[in-house]
Amino acid sequence: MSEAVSREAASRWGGGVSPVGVSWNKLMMWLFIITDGLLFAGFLAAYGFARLASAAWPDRLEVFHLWFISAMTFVLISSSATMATAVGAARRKEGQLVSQMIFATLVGGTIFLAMQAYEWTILIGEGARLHSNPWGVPQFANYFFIITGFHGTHVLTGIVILAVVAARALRGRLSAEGVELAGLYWHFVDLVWVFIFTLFYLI
Amino acid sequence: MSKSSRQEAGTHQEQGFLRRYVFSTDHKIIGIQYFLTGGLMGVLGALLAALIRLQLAWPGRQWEWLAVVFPSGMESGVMKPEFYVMLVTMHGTIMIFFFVSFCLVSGFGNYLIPLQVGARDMAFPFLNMLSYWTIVPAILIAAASFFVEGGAAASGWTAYPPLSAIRTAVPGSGWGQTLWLLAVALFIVSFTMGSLNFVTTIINLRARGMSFLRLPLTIWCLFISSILGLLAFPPLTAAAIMLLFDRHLGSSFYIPSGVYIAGTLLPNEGGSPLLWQHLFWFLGHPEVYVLILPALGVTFEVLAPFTRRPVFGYRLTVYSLLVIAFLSMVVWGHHMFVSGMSPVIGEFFSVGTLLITIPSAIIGVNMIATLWGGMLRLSAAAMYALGTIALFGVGGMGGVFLGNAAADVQLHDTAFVVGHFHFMIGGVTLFAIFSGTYYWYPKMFGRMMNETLGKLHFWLTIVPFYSIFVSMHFLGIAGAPRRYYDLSRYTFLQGVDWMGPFITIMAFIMIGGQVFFLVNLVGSWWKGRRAEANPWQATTLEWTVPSPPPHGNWGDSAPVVHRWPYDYSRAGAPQDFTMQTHPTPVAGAALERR
Amino acid sequence: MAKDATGVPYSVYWRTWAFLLMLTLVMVILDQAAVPRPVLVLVLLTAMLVKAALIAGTFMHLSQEKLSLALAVVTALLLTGAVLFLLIAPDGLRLFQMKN
Repeated sequence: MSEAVSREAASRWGGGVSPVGVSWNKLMMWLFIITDGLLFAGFLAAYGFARLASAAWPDRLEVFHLWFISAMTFVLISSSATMATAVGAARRKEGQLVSQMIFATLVGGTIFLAMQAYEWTILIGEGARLHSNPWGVPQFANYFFIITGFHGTHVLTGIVILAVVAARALRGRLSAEGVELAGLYWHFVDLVWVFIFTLFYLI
Repeated sequence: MSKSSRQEAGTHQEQGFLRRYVFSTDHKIIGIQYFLTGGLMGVLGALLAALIRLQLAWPGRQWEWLAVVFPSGMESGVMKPEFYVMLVTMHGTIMIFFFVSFCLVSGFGNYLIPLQVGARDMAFPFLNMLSYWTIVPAILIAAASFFVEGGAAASGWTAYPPLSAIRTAVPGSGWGQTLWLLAVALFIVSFTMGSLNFVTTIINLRARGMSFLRLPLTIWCLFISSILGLLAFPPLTAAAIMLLFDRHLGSSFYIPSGVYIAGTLLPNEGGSPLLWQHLFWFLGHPEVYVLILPALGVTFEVLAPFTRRPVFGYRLTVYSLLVIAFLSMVVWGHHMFVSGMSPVIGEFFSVGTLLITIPSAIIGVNMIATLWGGMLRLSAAAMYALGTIALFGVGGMGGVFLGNAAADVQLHDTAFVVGHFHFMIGGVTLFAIFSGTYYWYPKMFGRMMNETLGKLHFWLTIVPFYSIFVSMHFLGIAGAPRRYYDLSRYTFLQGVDWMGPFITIMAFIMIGGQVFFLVNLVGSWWKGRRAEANPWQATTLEWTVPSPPPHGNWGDSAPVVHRWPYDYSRAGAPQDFTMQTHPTPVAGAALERR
Repeated sequence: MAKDATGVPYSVYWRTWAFLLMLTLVMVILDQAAVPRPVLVLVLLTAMLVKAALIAGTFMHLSQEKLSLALAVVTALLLTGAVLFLLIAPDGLRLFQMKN
């Protein structure tokens, strides 16, 4: 049994096939996800450093409207679920379901961005700026804007990518792999939000 | 992947000059583009070094003709301190990012990876082309930064805030630093695109029979190096974005409270310069391994055919490389021992740094052991490979001193550090670039380089190199600080002040010696002896195809690999080498069982 | 490539969706309750990792890919990120101590 496994493993790693069992573009997308994920890790680690070095940190319950943020999280997770359905549908060549689900994902992403923009407006209205904020902790607002801003930029990029995929689907040039790659990117954006939501808003 | 490459091979002949040679998606052309660009930047970096050395040898001297070239930095011919610091900054930046990285990692990587793993091209040739054309604007921006108001960045290649974060700190901190950040950001984008291609190609596109433990060591090193780059660059990207925010949008990620510039208190508060140091060196340390690992790989690659011996301890070398790569990600604090960093963490970093000496020593010993009992063919390529071993050993020893946190208190920011890192990333890498060029030039251009000129070049490089950088170690122990504009004003350095002019004269000899290399490069391309497919009688895959290889590399059928890459000198075999594609079995007893 | 024909039934995605939502609700409620801070942080971090595992494993199909790929991705991201934070955090704490 172990001999068969090791022979199989040996042949899988012996060249001529992908040892990780994925096409080159999917492998490259995963590697890109690792890189982009570490970009956010850099921001979050810096945030953690600054927070540990700060005497106080604004009370999240006073600054954030946690149920609003939770609604944002709900929207993004739902868009992730519709995206996963779209990828599954693309594999099964159910063109109409693909289009519907990608459209739903697009709507979800746009709603998320709008809600994020709204939250920014509220906080900016209360006096939050990159260089100062009214809660007495100098480092709070700059990290808030840069982390959520970069996440928002990634959501926007994801929306653009999905719009391109949707346009292709509508023209009948649907590729299961294209949808899957776009899906990986979108789920990555959701994944980053899980970390931001917990580490910045909840903790 | 092979679909697009074969389609491309078919239409290749109909493509115009621009598509074939300028915006080419062929990895070989892209590799050569990187070499040429990197070489150009190396010349620029060397010129900056020459200016630095002029100042250090003869501080305060008037150079009238230079006042013409640099009217603001060298008014009336005497170098200004701000100009000197700018020179040091741009010399480091250009040499590290735009010379060594381009030539060694991107140049050799692009050229060799598909050939040595048996692929027709990289996994994503279009992205590969983009990766080259992304650095062109990066270089233009870096070059432009010399001409903007205030001149180029002047905060060291390490760009520490507050100097780099406050636009009015020094002249170069204005537009110069912003352009520097943009150029480095573009470089990171380009490098990431390249690394994605490298890693994907090595994992997915190896030919049949080319298992990981049959990969040439060059490929192992480029593979590990690319992964290191993919993991280590992003936090620096994050850090650089935060620095841009501090510079232009008033944030205080790095600027603490209480900073005065020209008598005015800045409104910033809460930032920490230490944070930048951590994030920068989190990349900065793996970056030097990104640079040196391919150099070690090239050295092994050249040693084997020129000693007609298998590489000693191939597997042990691979494991050592993996250990080095892993450790290199957790030792960045050894650049920060005197920064105010917690001494407890400092001890952790110190221990980790000293641990790296073990796999490094194993690699050095394996290189030397490869020579044992070998039939040395002392070509120019081989001489440079041997030089690399020596430089790795000597330079590495300096690292042992610096890795010790206590010793580093005296040695930090002295010329000792400068000597050490020039041995490693100005010596080992430089010699590997030369070694690899002499070795693979016939494959790339179908012509042999001139061996006599090559050997002359070697001696005119290695003797000055040792003279310069060993001297710097002693200068550093004597207490000479680095990045200082004028060492002559310190009485405690008077005993070693002869070293200034000595090093400078040696530097000019070394720079002059490179002319022979450039003449050799151009002259051989024009009139060199035509090269056959396998002029060195080496075993790896690139030597099975014509010199230069055709578009698509392998003609009609991809290669099939039957053995590891260093099957030299089998007792009783018909030839003293067996190519990787040679089907089993082969007569004779192998030196190492594979 | 290997699992195209049958794929995963859509219900798996929606059950994951429901679980993720429930977990989020629990996290938010807990966050506003009077839970001792160390416990709260531990629970929230654990829940965060569970959510991440679900998204990566189910939505991104990482649970169906070869183990080598999943391990590579998880190790690269989590280990590198953790190392980065854990080795700079002591300096953050030290800055705090020096300021007060």
